Parts: sequence; C-alpha cells; structure tokens
Amino acid sequence: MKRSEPDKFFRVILNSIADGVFTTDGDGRITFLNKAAEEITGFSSKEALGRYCFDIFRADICQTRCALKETLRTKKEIINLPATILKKGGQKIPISISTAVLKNERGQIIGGVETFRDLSAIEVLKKELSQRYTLNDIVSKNHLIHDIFNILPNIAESDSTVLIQGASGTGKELFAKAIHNLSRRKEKPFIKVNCGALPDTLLESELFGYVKGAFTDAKKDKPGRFALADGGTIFLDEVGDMSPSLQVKLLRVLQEKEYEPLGSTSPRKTDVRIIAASNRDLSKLVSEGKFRDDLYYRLNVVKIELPLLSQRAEDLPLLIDHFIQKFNAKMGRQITGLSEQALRLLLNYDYPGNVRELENIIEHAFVLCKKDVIDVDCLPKELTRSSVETDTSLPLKEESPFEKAEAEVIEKTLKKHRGNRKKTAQELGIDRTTLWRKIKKYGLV
Amino acid sequence: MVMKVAIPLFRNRISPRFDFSPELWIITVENGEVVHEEKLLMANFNLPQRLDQLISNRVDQVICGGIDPFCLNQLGSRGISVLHNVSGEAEVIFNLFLKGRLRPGFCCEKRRRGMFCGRKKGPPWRA
Repeated sequence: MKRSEPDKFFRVILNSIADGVFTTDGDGRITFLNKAAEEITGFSSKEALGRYCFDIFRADICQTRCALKETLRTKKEIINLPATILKKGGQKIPISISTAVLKNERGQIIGGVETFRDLSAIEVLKKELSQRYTLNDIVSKNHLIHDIFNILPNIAESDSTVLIQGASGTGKELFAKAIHNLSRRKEKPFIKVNCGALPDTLLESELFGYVKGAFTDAKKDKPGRFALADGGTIFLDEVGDMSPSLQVKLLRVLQEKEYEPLGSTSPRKTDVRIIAASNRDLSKLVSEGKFRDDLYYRLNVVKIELPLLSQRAEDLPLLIDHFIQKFNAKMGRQITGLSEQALRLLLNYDYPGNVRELENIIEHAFVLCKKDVIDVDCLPKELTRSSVETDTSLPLKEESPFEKAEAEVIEKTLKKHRGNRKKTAQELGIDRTTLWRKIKKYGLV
Repeated sequence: MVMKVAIPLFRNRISPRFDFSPELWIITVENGEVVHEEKLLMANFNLPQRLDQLISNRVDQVICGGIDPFCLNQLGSRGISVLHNVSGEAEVIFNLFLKGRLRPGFCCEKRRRGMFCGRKKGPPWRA
C-alpha cells in the first residue's frame, strides 16, 4: 500500500461519518474526499481528486484567509470556523470548518485535513428566529421580481420613503426587511406596525407613545414605535386602513421629522426611515377621498409593486422546494418532494392567498405526511376539492404551437428509426437524455 | 464584431467564486482578436459594486467559476451571458473560449501526469 494514500480501514471510518472530510497534499490539491463531503459540496471524489481544494470547496474564505493554509503555516489547528461554501449546483451552504496538519510517521508534514459540518438546518432556524432576511432569501426567477431586485440596492442606499403595494401574502414584509438589511440602518431596529390591526386611539399611542398623566391609566411615560425605531426603519403595514386624523399626524412626521406623544406639549425629533405597505390601491383610495393625497405623494417617493403568485408561475417549483427545505429543517423531517399528482395539483392551483398560502399548504402537508414524499391526501381538502372539476390527468399546461411542432417532429423521427432513441437523437442533433426528457414530456413513450 | 469578456481572477486562475474574486480581467475582443485588456482590483467590492463594474464596462460575457443563482439571474437580467463552473488557468480558459470550445462546467486542470479533467491525453488546447 502506498504511504500517501489513506488506507482502506480509515476510508471506511471516514465514509461512515456525517461530517465532510477532505485531505490535501502540500500544494492544496485534494487527495481524499469522504462521502459526506461529496454530498455537501455536490462534487464526486472522481471530479475532486487532484484538483485544488478551493476549486471544489469554494468557500467565501478560500481566497482571502484559507483555514488550511493558515494551519499549515502556523501548525496550529483551527476549530469551528464559520464559512459559506458554494455547492456544485450554486446553492450557498453555511458550514463550520476545522483543520489540522497531516504528518507521516517520520513527523514530516505531508498535507492538511479539513473537516466541515453542514449548518443549513441550524441557519434556517436562526433566520426564522432573527428574521434577518436579505435579497438572497427572496426566492424567484421571475422577471418582475428581478426588475425589483435590480433597483432594491439603490433604494436601500437612499433614505427615501418607500411604498410597497401588493396583495396579501405577496411578501411585502420580506421586501421591507430586505431593504432595511441592505441599508446603512441595518444595525438599528426594524419595527413593524400593522395599522389595520389596532383601533385608532390605540394605534396613535402605539406609534407615538404617551407621557405620564396623558390619560387615567398612564402612570409612566411609554415610548412609541417611532421612538423604538430611532435610527432604524419603521414598517407601516396596511397603511391604507389608517384613519384621517392619524394620516395628518403621519404626514407631519414625514414633513417635519417630528411628532408629539399623547399628552405631550413639546414635539420630539425622529430619525426613522418609513416603509409603508398596503394591499389596497392607495391611488384609488385617494380618488375616493378615503386617503389624503398629500400623504400619498409623501409616501409614494419610491413605489414597489409586488406581483401575485399566479403572475409568477415559474417560481412555483422553486418556492415549493424552498418551503420543503425550510420545514425539513424546522420540523426535523427528511421529506424529499411531492408525488407527481400532488405536484400537478399545486402547479395548477390559483393561490388567492399568494406565497403565504403556498407556505401554509406545505406546512399542512408536513403535519399530515408520514412518508418521505408528500401525496395528494396530505394536501388541504379545499385544494383537492377545487381540482375535482378539472381533470388532473391533463397535461400541466396547454401545449404551445412550438411544443406541438416539436412533439410531431420527435414522433416522426422516432417512427423513422423504429423507436431507436440513439439514432433519433443523432438526427435531431440533441443529447439522448434531452430526447428522453422530451419523449416523457409529450407522452410519446 | 466587438465583444467584452470579463473573467473574475484568483491569482492567474479563474476565481472559484464570482462574488469574492480579488481581481477582474476585462478583455475586449474584435473579430476574434484581443484589442484591449485590463485588470481591475475588486477585493473590497460588494455585490452591487461588482455588478456595477460589469455594467459600466459594458461587458457582454462573463466566464467564471462558482456563482449562485441570484447573481446568475442578476447578470442574465442585465443581458450578460455567463459561462460558469469553469476552472483552470485564466489564459488557457480564455483561449479555449476564443476558439469556441468552452462550455459551462469545463475543468481545465492538470491532475496527474498526462491526465486532464475529462480527457486522457494532453492539454485540450493542443488537441
């Protein structure tokens, strides 16, 4: 057995542990990669052996402060260094890294060993608790959302008031948090107030606070949400539900950057960025005389309109996968996906409650599902009921003229070659796997 | 036809991460010939600044190593084509691109004597 190769005994041990392990030679080229490392990085041993570890590991620290290089230089171990790697497929995986030097029996350093642990599940839970969402947490490949992504960094950099309009469940709060976390105010508080959830008088004291003696039970000063959000961002959800008298007070905050707590005679200065949101069309409310036009124009400095989930159907598979991963981490489950029929139902549903409804559907399925795959019987009853009228055995979408023509050409060529897929693929100039996929898609089997 | 190609660099290699490359190599190609090239320092740039660099330099094509779907979409929505998951020495990779022989996931790496990724004999640019 060659001295430089890990022997079979250690290979079996290393392949049976859940942490990723790889070893490198003195140049930083990979000499061994265990099974868990293959799974976490997405690269097989065959692809990785002999390549530089930074090309496989692709951690955010590889190019600036490589842990293994540091260990080889100082000959000191590094334990649990947090980092983020980029999987072969492009997903970012949070990990913790530990490193050590590898020596031969004569004590000479022959390379290094790096062990790493996948922290994805822990990070999902942490994010749920801290609610520190960024642009990367918004799952979408829809062009309307990407148009918003393009302007969001510039919006965040400015201190302008933002108005987010979109139906319930489209992610208004998520975008507001992303703007806050991209802005210079990110270390300061993000305070949310639902203007539609509180009666008028309560909302005023919630927003601006009160001073001792303002009313019978006001035994001491209470700071309002504007005071709590000082230096940060205040998110006024359902701003369209605000009463006319409060609208005037909010207008004053926007114009003068000051407000008066209930019962106070002196104004207080405030340094707060306002992000307002509404599921109602504010311009329509203005024309109906239900919302002050001067306040509308003050709020509407930068406007973001969020599309309905039905307008971004291409995001459904991504979102379904995202929520499955999220609930796997949250509930400690290992659900791998949905059955074909369940997926068909989800892809054909309208989602009047938008992304929040989809999230609730997946959560509902997680509670009922006892297997690895979510089946139709785990989905909410109203979803399966609404599909009774529509035949679920129909194709997912109506075929476009291009798809029809493509299916015809493939069918003809297949017949010509008496079902020989290799020859068919060659004649069509496509890969055999692509041909197989298309045969399956058009039901030509 | 004029085309601008940008390659995020790590030393003389393709940077393993688009979003953390310390340097950006921008090459202007006209009718298959290099007419201008420059290297920009990017070490302290955040993602919006990196995207701004590519846009202000009117880059048409990015050749890079690892890139996350968010960045990929950001570049795509700005009309920039991306050949990603490419690894190896930047000059070798760029020459392969000029010859039209580069594809996503291409690994141009000498791993063992006479062994290159996906090839048994000799470097691909000599084939």
